[in-house]
Amino acid sequence: MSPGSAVIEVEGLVRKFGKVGALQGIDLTINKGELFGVVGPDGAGKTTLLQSVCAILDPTEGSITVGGADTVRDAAAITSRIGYMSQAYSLYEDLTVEENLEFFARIRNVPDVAFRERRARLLEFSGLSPFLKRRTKSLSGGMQKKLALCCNLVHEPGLLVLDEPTLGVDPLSRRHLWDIILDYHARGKTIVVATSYMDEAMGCQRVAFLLEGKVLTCGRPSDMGGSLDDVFFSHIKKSAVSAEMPFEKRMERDVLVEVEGLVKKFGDFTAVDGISFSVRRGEIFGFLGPNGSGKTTTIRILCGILPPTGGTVSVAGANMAVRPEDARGRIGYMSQLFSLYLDLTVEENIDFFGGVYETGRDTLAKRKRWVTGMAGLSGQERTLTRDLSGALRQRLALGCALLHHPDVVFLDEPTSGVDPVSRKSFWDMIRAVADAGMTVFVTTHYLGEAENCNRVALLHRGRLLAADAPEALKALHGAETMEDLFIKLIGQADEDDQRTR
Amino acid sequence: MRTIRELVKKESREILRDPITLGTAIFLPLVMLFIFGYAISLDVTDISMAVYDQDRSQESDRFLESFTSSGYFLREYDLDSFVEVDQVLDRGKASIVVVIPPEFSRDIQFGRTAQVQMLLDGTFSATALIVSNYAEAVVGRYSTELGRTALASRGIAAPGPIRILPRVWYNPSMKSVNYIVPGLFAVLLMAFPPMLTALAIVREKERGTIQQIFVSPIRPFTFILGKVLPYAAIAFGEMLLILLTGTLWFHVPFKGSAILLINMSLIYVFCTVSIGVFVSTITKTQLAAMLLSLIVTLMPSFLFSGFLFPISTMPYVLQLYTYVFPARYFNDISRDLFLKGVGIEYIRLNMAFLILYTAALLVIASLRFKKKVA
Repeated sequence: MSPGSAVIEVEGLVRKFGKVGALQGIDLTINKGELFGVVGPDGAGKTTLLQSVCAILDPTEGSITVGGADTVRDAAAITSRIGYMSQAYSLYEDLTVEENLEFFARIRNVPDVAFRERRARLLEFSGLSPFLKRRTKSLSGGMQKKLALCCNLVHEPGLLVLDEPTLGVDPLSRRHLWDIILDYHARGKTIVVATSYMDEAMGCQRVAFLLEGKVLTCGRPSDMGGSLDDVFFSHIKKSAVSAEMPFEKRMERDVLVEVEGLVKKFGDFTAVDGISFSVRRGEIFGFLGPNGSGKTTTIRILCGILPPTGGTVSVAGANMAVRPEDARGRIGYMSQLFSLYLDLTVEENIDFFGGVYETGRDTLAKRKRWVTGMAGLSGQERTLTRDLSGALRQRLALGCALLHHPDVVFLDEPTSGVDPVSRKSFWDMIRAVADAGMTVFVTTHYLGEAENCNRVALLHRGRLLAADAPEALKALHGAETMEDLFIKLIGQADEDDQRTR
Repeated sequence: MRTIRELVKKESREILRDPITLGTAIFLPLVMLFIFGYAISLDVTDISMAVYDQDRSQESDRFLESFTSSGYFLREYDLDSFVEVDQVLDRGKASIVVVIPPEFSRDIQFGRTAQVQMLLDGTFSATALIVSNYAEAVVGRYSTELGRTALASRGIAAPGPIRILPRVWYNPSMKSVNYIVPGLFAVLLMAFPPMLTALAIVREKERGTIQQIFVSPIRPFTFILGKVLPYAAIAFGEMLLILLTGTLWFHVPFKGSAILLINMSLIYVFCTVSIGVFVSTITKTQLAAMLLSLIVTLMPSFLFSGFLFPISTMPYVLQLYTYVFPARYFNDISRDLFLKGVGIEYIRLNMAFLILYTAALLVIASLRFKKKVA
């Protein structure tokens, strides 16, 4: 097959799940050696399309051929030749790094000589060499993604399909993952990648923009008029945030979070190494750092669900090391996993979380209206949470965390895997919350979002590298964007570490 | 072949790194063996007996002594009124109450038929039946003796009564443990291996790791075999452990060929694991897999394998139903080998059923296992 000839041909692809049409007539051609991006909001059908291409999902109508083989009739011919990195966890967590790599090579019948050579190269390039004997479940999120990618590269597939490979990964690991992907592409391989990062999509040769199961537009990103973000914003309606908050703005106590010399150890491992900062009422405080830098640990301590090893922590006037129960009712917490009950309806979830904090009936009724309005869920009160898109669930989860009118609300990677438009409306919501006098403490890997914070703190290996307003930090370190700043500061810290060692 | 080896290697590593599950799988059946081996006993001895003797004569004393001297009855309560009789039975203190009327000795003296009342606690009908049979035998022997003495006093030598000489085959001491324990092997093996196997496959579905298997050259049957082999090995270890404990600790006599038993166990082990594989093809979550495997394995094995309730006394339709559950076949095999010591020619049919059953399950599971996410 010569370069430029079609590898994947999708014709009239329709896929239904029950009555729901996830894909509603897709026609696409992807050429050999192409780096092809798939973007679109949550629920647009990206994963369904990729799984169909990988021949692990049969079309309801239409056909797909990959390298001339039909995905229904010749599925085995396709699956044995391609690589597919699913969004789901694709590694065996109880196996070590090298065992996983070996397993995936063996089941692909990689010859011994080739395996040894590729293993050495992949481990070197991915930086996984020091962790060979470590069980996969104790790797950081970024490392896990790198390993999953390596497990798919070890058999050198001609076609590599990646479903949001950088989801939930810190900017540094993200850049690293893309180095590996681009290097592989440079060797003449075809790559299809779904992503919710617009900068990643811009780096693809061609991009298909999916919306509601259809291809809205497909072509070179540069031909799409400026930026892909614009494509999103021109096609997706941003849900408005209803301004009217059913809360009296509280004014008492100005500093709501005060941390002094906080230390947290797990056995020999120091997760948080003496950090200090304070956050004022109404501030949006961004907490940034690579995977495994201690962000989630710190948030858990601030919420009183994990006792600190040393230092003082005060949240809304309560000493979290001694009497965390004093702060209950004054803080809200939304975890990475959105603590909603998927088998309950929207309204039942709100009632439940309102009930937990003993919110009075009239107050709850008022706040319920506010939460559904704000989340864009008015009229869908009886919908099962399971059936909501990720973006809607996320807004509902935030609403539920605010029902009891806390002083401080902690959001741990709330926008992971959500499209730019939904992220934007989520941030509108966050700003409204801060304007109402609540402090928002938020972690994120989307550094573009960090610009929305009043102040950001950068955490690395349990230590605080910087804490200030985004503009001030960029000016101080001469960085163009938050992402540059992040990579610069982390890189410097790593160099310092190596020099002292 | 090489792929199977890799799959087995990977699976074994995962199993070994979860020692709690492995330990549970191996030792819990042992615990269950002890509990059931001791708890389930169908033997009836030391029957507690209450007596309301209204006659209080030498004759009635001798009559009651024939009960205690039989070795089955313990005379624990002497009562003075019918109110007390009621109380003793209501409180479950005695399983049998013997009431001797005031005219007992007089009736015997004058050669009339004497009457004795026996009240039995029929809450457990099977036990009550046995107690009643024992009591009848005691009374029967007593009255024969009585007749012979009466005839002898008149100078007539009565012919001795006809005595039955029962010879119980296969379990001559009639100990129920000898019958329970070989049946338990069939039941206990249904407790864990099917569930563990089902969980091992469904876990990959839940986690998403199975998608990597889908996108690979592995064939469905190969994948299934890679799951079956390690779990069959665990189940076989489990089997050997309870077989050894059963024979060495409970002293269940083993009459048959050990090699034959081990081979049969091996077939049965594969059968139990295959049930797990089958369950995994129709469930999507670990919880559903766990519940379903318990419902299709452990419960019916207790009820429909002939372990506790003889199949031959079940209604005909239910008798046919028992063929659905493989514990029945192995229960037969195990008891035949332990108690009867028969050769392979007598268990051929059950063996054939087991092999067919296992093969059918694996084939159906492989056909149902589609390398598709939906």
